[in-house]
Amino acid sequence: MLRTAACLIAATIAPAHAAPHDTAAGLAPSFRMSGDVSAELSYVVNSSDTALVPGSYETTYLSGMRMSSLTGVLRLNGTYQKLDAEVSVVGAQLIMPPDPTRSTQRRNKYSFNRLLTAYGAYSFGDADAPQARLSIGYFPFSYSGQTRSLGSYLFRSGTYPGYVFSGDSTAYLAGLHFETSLPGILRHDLFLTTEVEWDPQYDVSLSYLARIGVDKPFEFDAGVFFDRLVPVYSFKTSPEELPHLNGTIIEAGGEGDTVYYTKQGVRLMGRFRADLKHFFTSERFSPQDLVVYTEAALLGVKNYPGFYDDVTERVPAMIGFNIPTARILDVLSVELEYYGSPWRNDPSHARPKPYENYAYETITYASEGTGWRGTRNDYKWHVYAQRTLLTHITVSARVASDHLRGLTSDGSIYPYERLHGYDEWYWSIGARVSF
Amino acid sequence: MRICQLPEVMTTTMMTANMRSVLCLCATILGATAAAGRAEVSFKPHVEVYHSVLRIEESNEASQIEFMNRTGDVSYYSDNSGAVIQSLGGRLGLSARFGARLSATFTYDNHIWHVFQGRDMPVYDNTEKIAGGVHEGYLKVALGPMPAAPVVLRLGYFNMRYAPEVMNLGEYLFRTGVYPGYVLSGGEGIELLGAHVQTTIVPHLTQDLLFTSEINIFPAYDYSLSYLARVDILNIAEIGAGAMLYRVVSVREENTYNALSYVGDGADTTRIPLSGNKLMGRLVIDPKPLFNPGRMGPEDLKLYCEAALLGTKDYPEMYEDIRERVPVMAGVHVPMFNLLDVLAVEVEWYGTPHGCNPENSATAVPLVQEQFRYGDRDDWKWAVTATREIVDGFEVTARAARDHLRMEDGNGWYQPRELMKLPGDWYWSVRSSIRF
Repeated sequence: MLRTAACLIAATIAPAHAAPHDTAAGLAPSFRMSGDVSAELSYVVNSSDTALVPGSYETTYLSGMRMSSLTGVLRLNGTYQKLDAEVSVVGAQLIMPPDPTRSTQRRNKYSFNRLLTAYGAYSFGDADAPQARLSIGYFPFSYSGQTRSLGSYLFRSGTYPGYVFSGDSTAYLAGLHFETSLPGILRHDLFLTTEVEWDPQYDVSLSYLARIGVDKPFEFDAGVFFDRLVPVYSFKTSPEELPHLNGTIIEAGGEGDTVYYTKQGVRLMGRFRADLKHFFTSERFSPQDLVVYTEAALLGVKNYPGFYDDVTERVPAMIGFNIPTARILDVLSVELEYYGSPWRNDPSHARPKPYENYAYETITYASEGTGWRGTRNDYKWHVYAQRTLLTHITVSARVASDHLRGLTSDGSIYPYERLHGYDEWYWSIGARVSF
Repeated sequence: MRICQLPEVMTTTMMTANMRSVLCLCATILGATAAAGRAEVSFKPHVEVYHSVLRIEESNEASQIEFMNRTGDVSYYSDNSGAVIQSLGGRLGLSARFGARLSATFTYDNHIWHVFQGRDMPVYDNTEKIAGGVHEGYLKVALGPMPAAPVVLRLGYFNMRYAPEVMNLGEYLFRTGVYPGYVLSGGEGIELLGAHVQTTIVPHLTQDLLFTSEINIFPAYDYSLSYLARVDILNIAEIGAGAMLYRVVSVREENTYNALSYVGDGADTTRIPLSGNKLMGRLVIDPKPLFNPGRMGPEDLKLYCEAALLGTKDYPEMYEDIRERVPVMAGVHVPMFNLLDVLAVEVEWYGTPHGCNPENSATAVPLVQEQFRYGDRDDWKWAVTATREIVDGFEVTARAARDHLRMEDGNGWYQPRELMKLPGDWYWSVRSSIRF
């Protein structure tokens, strides 16, 4: 044993040659690390959000409420031959409004870290200029980079009842994404995705997006989304619940023909973007100035008697414009939205029958004044300004009456909206450092 | 802390020899560190993304699955046959090399997973869960002549897999408990916290010595000592054996020797500790060197078996029959001639009459509802696993099995209850991963 130990010591202290690294050109993976840190402070000026604490019916608890967030994102990209992979995680410390079902006084302080993206992609053809690309995993996707809050309906919405979101235009999807340009001016995106966030989960959806003129002065987009085309739990996606009207079972398909409501549906989307600088030439315009964009969607092409018999109630539409600021700001955008749904805008409502409540439309026991909130919240607006101070530092400000929700303790989206009318609004300021 | 009784003949000699060995080891580590300090530092990131979907085709055990709804109330599913579980996530990590001998590895994992959705589950409940944490973090020191150092030391939180041919059932030494003897399954080994020394000083003989801390099952932190050895015979066969002194060092005696952990009464009371000794033996045969394998893949035609004894000591009432503490498995890699990388068929027999609950309320006596619960109905397990690397770095694994399937708990461990207990229970899963 002593001889063995002596040999080990001698061998260890003696000069050792480093193990050769695999430096053959093109064989070793390459990596890139990036991320950002951001802080945001928000103030709710006016909100009629109703507390649901037993014994309380307070509608002013949110007015004057401050919220804040400190967020960090770390991202690692790797490339190996024709494979790319990305993993990013987000960590944050938040101060969010109270949960109105539990308290009206105590703001919630959360810390969380969670997966932001985890996907791989394979490039067909030349890796530097691929003819097509297939991604698999949990990946971000945005087709409307100009959107600051309102829009991006194709992936940020649901059907029966229809719900929409506001905020960053990026949607996070789980599944497969195939993209190609054929011919060169027409870009195709095909998705096979699985629902991971909102009940009922795992249902598989198929969607297609066609875009003409990406990165050109004029862009036209059209898309179709077959929502929950393949349900995993059919008893949850189509629960065979019969609607009731004044205590009487109504038959959705007409006399003697019962059709059950379902969360399956087809969404359509159309979008147009125009960069009006194409008609003007001036050095006083920043790249984002004079861009106008508009989008509309149909959240469920099929009518159902009772709750979904008016197609106009399922059409959110928005328009946005970037106001020129003579390069004082990178962007000053104004967005407006109209969405005439009489139902609560709630992604967590897992049944195809809408949530019926005096504040929203009901058909079961309608009375005078029913649905007042469903009418007041049809219009949304958003004003956003951003300025880059140094190469990696940006500051921003917004004033808005949008679909503000907030986050929960694990970083997922709080399902209930906080603002219920065009005169209910908030402001926020933020800063971001990217590396 | 209490060190459980070792045979006296071993004690004095071992202590003296161990002191010298420890001093030698410290000297070599210091030497390696000093050498590393003079060397160049290099970093190598690594990334992995994965997605898995699992469907339970039949489970008689699912009625006992708990779930927590949004208001914090606990309910039970009545029927989970046909249940689907999905998980997707990513790992990012960094390996740092300080010269030729010293390296450090850290990997962080975060993933989205779900609990069961059942017919009786309130529809407003969100079953999406987020889990994240350290997947591995350890220091590695290579000792002896380079480049193939005969001694390698790992310190920290690391993956241990001593039977790479095992695709699901087996690797009992570290994936089991004693009193009661639970068994885990799965194809990725297990993460251990502690120290691991591996040596190949003797040609064809690989020896592993581990000193690990229990971090998953209460009582936590008790230390265990393990030894494994495997002999390679002409690249045709491998014989392995191992022993584990589980919880040989107790951090809190009142937890390891739980006052409620006894059988009998009065003068016939017998206390059963949570500590115990495990033995393991395994055999792998790869006959391909005996003939021209043609287009067979490197994993084809391997035959392997493993058996373990989960607790060498009998205790009255609950652990009287030693045969009831012996899981045995056998497996074969069906030749696929490179159509698949591996197609493994594995079977296991484990004759314990009790339920395999790792938590068991931290006592060595099985809970009342776990005692003699299934008889011999749950003795047999099986698994068929297929893997294929589609392109470099992208692998797909498919499995059909009735094994020791447990759902994760979101904290890096498992929920206690097995879901595949009775004949007729089975599930399938598909996992894809990109890793480089």
